[in-house]
Amino acid sequence: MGLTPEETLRYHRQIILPQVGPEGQTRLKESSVLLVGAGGLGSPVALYLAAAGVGRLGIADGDVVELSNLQRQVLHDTPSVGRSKTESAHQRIGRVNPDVAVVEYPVRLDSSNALEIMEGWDVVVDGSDNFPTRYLVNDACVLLGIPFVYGAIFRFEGQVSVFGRGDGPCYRCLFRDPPPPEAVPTCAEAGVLGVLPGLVGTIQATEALKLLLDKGDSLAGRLLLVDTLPMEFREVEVRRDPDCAVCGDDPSVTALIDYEQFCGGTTTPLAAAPELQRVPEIDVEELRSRLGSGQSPVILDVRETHEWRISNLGPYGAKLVPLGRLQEIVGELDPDRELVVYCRSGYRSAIAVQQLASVGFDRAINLRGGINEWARRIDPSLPTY
Amino acid sequence: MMPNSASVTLRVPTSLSELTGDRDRIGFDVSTVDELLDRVRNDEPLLAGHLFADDGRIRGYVNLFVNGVDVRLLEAGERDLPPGSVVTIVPSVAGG
Repeated sequence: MGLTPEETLRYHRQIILPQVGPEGQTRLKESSVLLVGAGGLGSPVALYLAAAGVGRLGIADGDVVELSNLQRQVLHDTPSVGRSKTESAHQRIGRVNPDVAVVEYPVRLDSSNALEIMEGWDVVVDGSDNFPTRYLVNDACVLLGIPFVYGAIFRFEGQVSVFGRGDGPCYRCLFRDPPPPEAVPTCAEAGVLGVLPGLVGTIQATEALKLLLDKGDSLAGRLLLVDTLPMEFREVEVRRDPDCAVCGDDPSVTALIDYEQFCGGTTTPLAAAPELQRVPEIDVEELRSRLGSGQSPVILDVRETHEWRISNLGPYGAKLVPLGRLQEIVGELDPDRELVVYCRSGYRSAIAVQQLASVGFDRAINLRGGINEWARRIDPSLPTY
Repeated sequence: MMPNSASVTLRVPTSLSELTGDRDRIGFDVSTVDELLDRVRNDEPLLAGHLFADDGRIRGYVNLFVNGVDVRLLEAGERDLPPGSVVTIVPSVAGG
């Protein structure tokens, strides 16, 4: 498959690079890249890879375009609000370069569909926005032998690397365990500078093109740290971990697992169902009035020790039991007493309530909004985080 | 900014700066990695809570790089911190 005269004209500035040439451009035309996420990072990656002439782009994203996305997700525009991101991306890529074949996957990747969707692509670009998908993408790429370009952002900082390439490290070599839910706030909670995914995503696109062309030194084995406030680019060395669970010498993960559970911090028989169901809740105002009425419930804090040090309901008798250790102490709790469970903002405690309900605690209730809501509405002297 | 007399700079990412009173660089006058880790445990308990598990090991979702090298990979003879060393905390972030 050669280049048509029109393609030769379209890609002229790239073809005259000695490292690309007509052969490299033809190689791009015959290559394929799967983008996981068509959000902040996926936007510049999709636009630049399409413009550069990558022949086939897959877009996996189960979300619809929201107005609050447009501050950074430059692939989408105002008329696209409410449409699926894959459809919006498809249309935009078609306008940038109609020669690119786009494959839409308007679903959230999970263990049941990931291998089927990801198999056969030359390179995967991870622009997802949550830990379960990141570990899923990593494990699937390692199992399928596909290199992937990692990028992640938070507020003013970003990280970029290439994982799963040859003997190089994978994401789990860098981050063996996921953080407990909410130990790290999401961009939706903490904010992100709109241009940051543009910066990090264009680096990801660059790495993807280098992998496809087999040129230059990839970021495999290096993690690039981007910090826009001091405007610094630094790098650290990442080595393959011989004990890594998925790419190590004796891997324990040889098939995809339940990543929601893996990232929920619970692997015990008390583990939550994959989908969190609605659990009984109590409002912070109601809890306060309950505390002063002589009907004080038992209060359980399921966060980590360092979070307890930031803020807690210790003065009301709260007891700290990190979610992962709930099973160890469940025998010490009285199932007949009312039990109010809280965490930072209500997610982990909902998991805890669900777990407790499954072993007979019918009077366990989740504190809606967690300790941060208590700090905002009841006790402003407590810090929020 | 770090005090001028400090020999080693600990770089704190913005995702964790709420644990350090919004300081992104903390200076320590120490000469080995182990001295640094002890000082972090003593002087920055909130940050230490995020970095270290109850058994004292660095948690699996955060990394410390000493002049660009993972602290877990440093051999016994490589744990000195020459003046001007930079120790970087690399946290798990998932935003995209």
